[in-house]
Amino acid sequence: MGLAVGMTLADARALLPDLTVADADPGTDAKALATLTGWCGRYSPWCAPDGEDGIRLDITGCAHLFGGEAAMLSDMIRRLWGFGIAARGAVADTPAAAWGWARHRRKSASPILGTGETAPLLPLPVTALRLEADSIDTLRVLGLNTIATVIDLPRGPLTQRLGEAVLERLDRMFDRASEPISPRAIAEPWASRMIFPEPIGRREDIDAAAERLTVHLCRAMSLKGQGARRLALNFYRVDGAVQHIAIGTSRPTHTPAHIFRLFAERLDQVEPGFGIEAVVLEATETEPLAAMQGTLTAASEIDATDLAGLIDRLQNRLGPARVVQLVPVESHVPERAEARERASAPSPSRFAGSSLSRRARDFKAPLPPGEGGAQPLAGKVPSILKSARPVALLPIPEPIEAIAPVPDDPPLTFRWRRIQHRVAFADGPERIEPEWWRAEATEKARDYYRVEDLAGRRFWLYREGPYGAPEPPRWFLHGFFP
Amino acid sequence: MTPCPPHLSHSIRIAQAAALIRAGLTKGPEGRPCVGTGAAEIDEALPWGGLTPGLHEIAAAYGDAAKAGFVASLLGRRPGPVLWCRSRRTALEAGDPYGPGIAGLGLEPDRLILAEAAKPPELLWAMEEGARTKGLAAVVADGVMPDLTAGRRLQLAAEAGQGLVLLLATGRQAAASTALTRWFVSSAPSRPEAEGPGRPCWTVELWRCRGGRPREWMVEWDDAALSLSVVPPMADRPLAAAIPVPQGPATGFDGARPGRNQVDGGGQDSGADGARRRDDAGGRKSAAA
Repeated sequence: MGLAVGMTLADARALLPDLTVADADPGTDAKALATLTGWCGRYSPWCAPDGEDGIRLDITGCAHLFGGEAAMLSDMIRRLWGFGIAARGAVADTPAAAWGWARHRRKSASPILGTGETAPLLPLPVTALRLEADSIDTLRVLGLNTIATVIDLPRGPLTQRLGEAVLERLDRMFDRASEPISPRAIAEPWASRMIFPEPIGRREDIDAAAERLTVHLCRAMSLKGQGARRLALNFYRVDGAVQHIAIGTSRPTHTPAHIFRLFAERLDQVEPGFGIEAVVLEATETEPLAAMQGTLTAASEIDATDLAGLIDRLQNRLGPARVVQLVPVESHVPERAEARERASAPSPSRFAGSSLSRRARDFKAPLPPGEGGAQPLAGKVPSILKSARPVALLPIPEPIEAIAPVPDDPPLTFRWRRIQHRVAFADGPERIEPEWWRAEATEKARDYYRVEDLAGRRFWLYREGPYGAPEPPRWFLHGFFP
Repeated sequence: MTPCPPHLSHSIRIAQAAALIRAGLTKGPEGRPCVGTGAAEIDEALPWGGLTPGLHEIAAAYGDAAKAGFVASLLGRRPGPVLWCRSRRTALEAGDPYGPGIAGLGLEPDRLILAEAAKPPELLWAMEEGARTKGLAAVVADGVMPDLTAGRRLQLAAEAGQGLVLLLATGRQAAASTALTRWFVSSAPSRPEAEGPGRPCWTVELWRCRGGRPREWMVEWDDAALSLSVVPPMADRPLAAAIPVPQGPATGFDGARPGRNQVDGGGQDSGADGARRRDDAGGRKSAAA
């Protein structure tokens, strides 16, 4: 039809008025090419994308499986055309020769170049050498239009004039230099499976199968330095039903005992029905797990592994959101000053010492207003102020009825959960303003008081909103001091 | 310290001591590993010289956070993570441990692993799993009372894992328990500092102890030194000794507070100042009077 790469759209439309036009999308093209390369793995394991529009395969030792080179190539091309890909292929001694032959041979020529058969390559145009556009222009200006005209030129002046690329391409095409293929890495699924000659159904057999699979998979993973984060155990029943058990771990592991114990708690759920004929254990998510440096006190490392196992068991049974750790958050609003995140096993050194770890230091009790957070704690601030945060905080502040003198005195008495408390001492107010920079913060300012009732119980109360506002302030109980 | 049998070589004794140090335990007078409470008087009254790995029950009145404070102060004395199990209901009623607050009691918040279970059997299962795990400082369970069988299981698990299992209870539990020690902790009026409440004070009652005798102490938490100390109940607190610790709503109106009456009537700032201030000597004076 006369269309060619590099043609302007106007020229193309002039030739073909109803041309369908789509924007180029190199990223998606590359992805599609990678997928197609994966498909080519059916012909040879040694295949790789070549440039942006080709795939090269090393078919050494593979062709006979498909009935010879010609049969293999025609099968491949037929299937690719079946996918809607206008593919052209060639078989040659070297990748460079195959590249040139596939793209530049005459239609009538055979796509297969036999071993040592280089003569058909000679009449090909120099573009078959896969050179840069300006090198080709230079060659054409010099009247060197075919490979035959280039191949016999003295090597020295050619290199001087055109650089090393031309000679390199020639050498690769005529097998004077090697051009290795680096095959596309195949991500192997971490799985091990067991197929039974007779269906199994007893609990002991299921346990034994799960244990053997775990040991097998763990050995494979530990050899590759991988640890599983998520595993699935699938039971294929004779009636076609498949039962899944999925577990997760808080850190990568390849310890068979750990993984098996997580499964063992769930194996009760397996209903063998008429029998199970196959079991497949699959690590659906893995992470690199390097060998760990042992510590001098070997016990601490064992403890950390035990702890990881405990957290995993708790999370798998109670639910991941129900086993959490406290994480400090930079906020002066009490309920936002700590967040809960899914518990994960510590690194062995995290709990090694009894000294405050980094996270613990981040949990600093803010100082009351007026004291100034920048001052050093020691000596200047009374020690009591360090515990100005309650030991227990109610998830939802509870409204209380309080009687307090205006404008900002602590309550004299308050009623919480139908019990009247009379205040003996109180400290405050500590005003905590809402975080206005957060869109969802619509609450009012709070005045917090530490109060102690006559019995000695200490509470953290606050008044929401000032006196004199249209709606009267409300009192809440938010926490407990020890 | 008991003399070591002669057949135990030095290396074995050193290994045992090293194991104790790693576990954050000290050796009691009978040679059993234990966690000291920090107050020498209390440790002396306990047959193990502290809390030995096993089941311990710590109760307090409804709505009294003294038990959480006492437990946090104990846990601060042993390194390692702490598994804190409770039901959603307990969390809503009594509140959850609050990081910035427990840090002031010597318990680093990142050591806490909070586990929440919907049903008591799951809670007991989680506790037992935790108790069996070596390397945990303690398992704390809030709002679950195991029966005798479950208690025995927990005790055995705790002995295997060398961990403390602390049961937090509400109200004085009448039911029999397999716990090694049973405590009742209540908040006591503190010695007020400048303005407002002073250091946390608790009345700690050891009302049942296997191999020990019931005792009661008044303790004060020193948040600067992060230590618990027994304070003499009579020395400088005639009020605390004179007024029985009120339980619940029975607290009557205290007529002997002139400042209070004035405040109730007037509600002026000078009166309120009087309500906040109190003398240590016991005779309360109002600044406004």
